[in-house]
Amino acid sequence: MSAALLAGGVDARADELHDILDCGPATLRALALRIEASAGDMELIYRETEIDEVWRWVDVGLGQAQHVRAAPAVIAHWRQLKAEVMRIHDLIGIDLDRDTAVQALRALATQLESAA
Amino acid sequence: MLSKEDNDILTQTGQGTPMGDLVRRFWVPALLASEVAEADGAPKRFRLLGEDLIAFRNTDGKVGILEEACPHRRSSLALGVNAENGVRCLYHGWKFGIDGECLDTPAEPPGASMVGRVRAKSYPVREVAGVIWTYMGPAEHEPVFPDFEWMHYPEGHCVPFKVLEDCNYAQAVEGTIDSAHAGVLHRESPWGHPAKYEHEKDLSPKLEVEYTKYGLRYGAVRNLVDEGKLHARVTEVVMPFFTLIPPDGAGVRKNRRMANAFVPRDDESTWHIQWFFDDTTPIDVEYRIKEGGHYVDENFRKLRNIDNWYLQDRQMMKTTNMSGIEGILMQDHAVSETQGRILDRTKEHLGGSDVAVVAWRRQMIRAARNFAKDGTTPSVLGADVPWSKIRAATVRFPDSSNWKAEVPLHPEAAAT
Repeated sequence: MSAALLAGGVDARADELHDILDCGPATLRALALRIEASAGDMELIYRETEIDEVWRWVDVGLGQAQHVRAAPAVIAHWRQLKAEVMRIHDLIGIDLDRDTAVQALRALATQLESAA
Repeated sequence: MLSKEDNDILTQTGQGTPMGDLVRRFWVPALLASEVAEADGAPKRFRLLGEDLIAFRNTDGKVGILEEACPHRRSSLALGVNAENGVRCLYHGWKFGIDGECLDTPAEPPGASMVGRVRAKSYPVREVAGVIWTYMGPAEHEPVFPDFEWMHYPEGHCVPFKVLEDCNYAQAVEGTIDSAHAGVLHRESPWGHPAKYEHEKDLSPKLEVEYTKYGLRYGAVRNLVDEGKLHARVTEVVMPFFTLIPPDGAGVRKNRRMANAFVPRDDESTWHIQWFFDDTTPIDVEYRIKEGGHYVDENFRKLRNIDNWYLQDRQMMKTTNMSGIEGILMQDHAVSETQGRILDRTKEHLGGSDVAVVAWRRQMIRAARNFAKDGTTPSVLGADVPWSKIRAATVRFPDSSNWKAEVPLHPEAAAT
């Protein structure tokens, strides 16, 4: 357990499913850490499920932006986020390409932090 | 969520598709033995994996499965005469044995007989546990038969049922590897009323999955707050479409288990074959029919179905159960069928409670992709699967333990 608690107190245990409570940068970075720590097929299934849940939050965000008729740039931002999360989902689910997925998650987190 | 490409791989089972070719490497349940109970009785028409077939029991009591269309002029052999160890086409009298061999072509001129030359397309058959099974793949790749323990139970202790499900097989499978729905869809009290059963009290069980040689198993762990214990239902998922459901409840349900086979009829409908089995008590068939709401017509179509909206009763929802639909089976079919004939998985919003569904899909899609790529078959098709040891279970245990320790995986069943 202690070895799995990495810098910043992020819980990076790979052998269980973690709750995903938002699609913010901290969540994406924690997910990237867990992908790095994931070894077997089962752990990657947990990661794929967590990405599914990130995607759910993103799609909810897009839906809300559309509902309130947000500015086109805001809606475009959510759409781009959604497409990128889907790409990351398939990097894990189909390609088993952990490195590219981790890089993409961190790039996305940085992008979100910059936009904040 | 799945990409459209992955959803297509998962759901398309016709000949020449990745999943269709993979599924044809398995022995699959085709129909109930009771549908062709009579030697020299009427041939039975049915569709399986998108192919139109007939089954018939010959004079010697052996069952054959042939392509429905006569090789001569493509008329249905189901119209034919079943006698003297073969089915004779009604159109010109061509006759075929259970292995598809042509035995007679009476309308052909002398010298032009097709006997021993032409063949009707046929598939090998086994009759096991009240069901006719068939293998629709290449003869040289016929796999070991899945010899589950319950197939050897005494008469009356293992009973098969069959019903048509009006949707793709994959969403039907997924409906049985989703323990989180049990406390909602099958709730035996109206929403907002006190829960009746343990699985209705903790609506968000913790799901953990373990891949195995034969597929996967998962534990749905619930917290029994009143007792200070944990409760787990361990479901076995055997590739390509079998799910083994643990016992629950009391009375006749205490030790009664269930196995499901969701066999693609075609891409938009599924033969849902169930075996109920109990090694301690004979299966109460009448009880099961009532409990499941398993009322079907002669073609196994549900009397309560999507066309009559499952006879959902709004008053019942206020007084009796969550769904207003009578029967556990009907409730499951209602939610699966109303997802659409083929569920569009690009539009889902999955969460942690769906992890077993994610794991199963991914296992199936990877297996189909690998098979299409280089012919690699999943380990379940190997010779060393400990079929008799695959058993679903319900356990209670202290929180110092875990479900994998309480229901250990047989060493020979570990994923390779």
